[in-house]
Amino acid sequence: MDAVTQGVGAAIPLIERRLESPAPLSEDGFRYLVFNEFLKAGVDIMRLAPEYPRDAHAKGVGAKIDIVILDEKGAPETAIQFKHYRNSAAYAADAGRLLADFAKLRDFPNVQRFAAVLADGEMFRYLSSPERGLDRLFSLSEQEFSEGNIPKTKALRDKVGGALSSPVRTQATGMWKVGYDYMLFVWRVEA
Amino acid sequence: MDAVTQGIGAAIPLMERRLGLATPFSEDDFRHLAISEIIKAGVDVMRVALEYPQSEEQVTLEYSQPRDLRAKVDAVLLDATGKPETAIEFKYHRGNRSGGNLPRTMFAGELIAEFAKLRDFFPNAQHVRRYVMYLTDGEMFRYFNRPKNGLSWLFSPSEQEISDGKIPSGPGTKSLRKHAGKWTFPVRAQVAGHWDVGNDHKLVVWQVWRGES
Repeated sequence: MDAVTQGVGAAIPLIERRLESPAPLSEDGFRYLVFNEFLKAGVDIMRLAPEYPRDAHAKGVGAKIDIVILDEKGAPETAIQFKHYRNSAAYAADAGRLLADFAKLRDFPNVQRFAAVLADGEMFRYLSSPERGLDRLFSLSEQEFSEGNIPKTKALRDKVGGALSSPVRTQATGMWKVGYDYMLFVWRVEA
Repeated sequence: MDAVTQGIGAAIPLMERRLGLATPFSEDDFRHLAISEIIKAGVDVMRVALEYPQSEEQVTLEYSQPRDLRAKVDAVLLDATGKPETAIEFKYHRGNRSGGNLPRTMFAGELIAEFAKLRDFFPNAQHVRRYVMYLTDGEMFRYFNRPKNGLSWLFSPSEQEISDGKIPSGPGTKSLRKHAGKWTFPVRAQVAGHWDVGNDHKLVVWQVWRGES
């Protein structure tokens, strides 16, 4: 198992405890718990860069990668995007955001790329329902997503925009049931 | 010394090292370095909640409504029952790498707004400790230190009241006022510590109190 999937998996007991506590777990909180596991696994904190610029010109929403792990020379080595879906009122738009995150990772060059997603039962049921057209996300084999093969739902496509005009390939590397009604996934993302 | 002050002090060498690298340094870097040291100082990671809602009511809504886009507090340390015990806002301002002009009045307004955010956090919880942590480079620090910009009092070692009347007004302050938040109610603040952080950066920590002194 790769070190990223291992680190995300190691955070599960903490994520479960936090999901049961009265304090809400935010997406940043989810990300920090994984960050904390990387530290525990011996990654030097100097090599962990949250909100790393995707490129010198990108601005605004989507301009940063959630966590980048740097190599010993300070160059990006691994890029990770995090999503935490809870009480979604816009499943299709949220699914579109996930596909857009894959594309964002694809466009970050010369690194290993991962997406880690914590989703409540409702969001997971949406994503895994065959009639929504995204259940192959959870396939054990590599999948390709592009404009031509993603669902035609307008809200989803609005969030994807033109990001999948060139395809992105994903491979689920970790999948866990977390707590009473959450699922946690890690995908490796390739151009 | 509490774990927050101890943690932020311990994070300074890490900040110095990171600021000395070519790797971009973000506000989240600042927050993660500080939080990791606060945890090392003895706070259980389970007690750290990032992006915490502003009120009890908003906490309840988090569990029943779609994603709430209202302002959250950067980091909250919880007590053993899961209730807020300490609230921390982080702010990082630095010069443009391109050498362009900094929006200094806007940045000043953003810093003032952090105090307003802590003032409005769980307003009835007098026991909650509140901190603003500000990391900035020499350019912003010089801006604040210049008496004509009207904010040097904020960096005084003595306790200060932050209120509408003390926030600069008049020509050239429109952007500052726009970003400073609403100041119907004052708040008290005192510098709890400040440090040189290398690479022309300074770190200032304020403790913030609601109510009368």
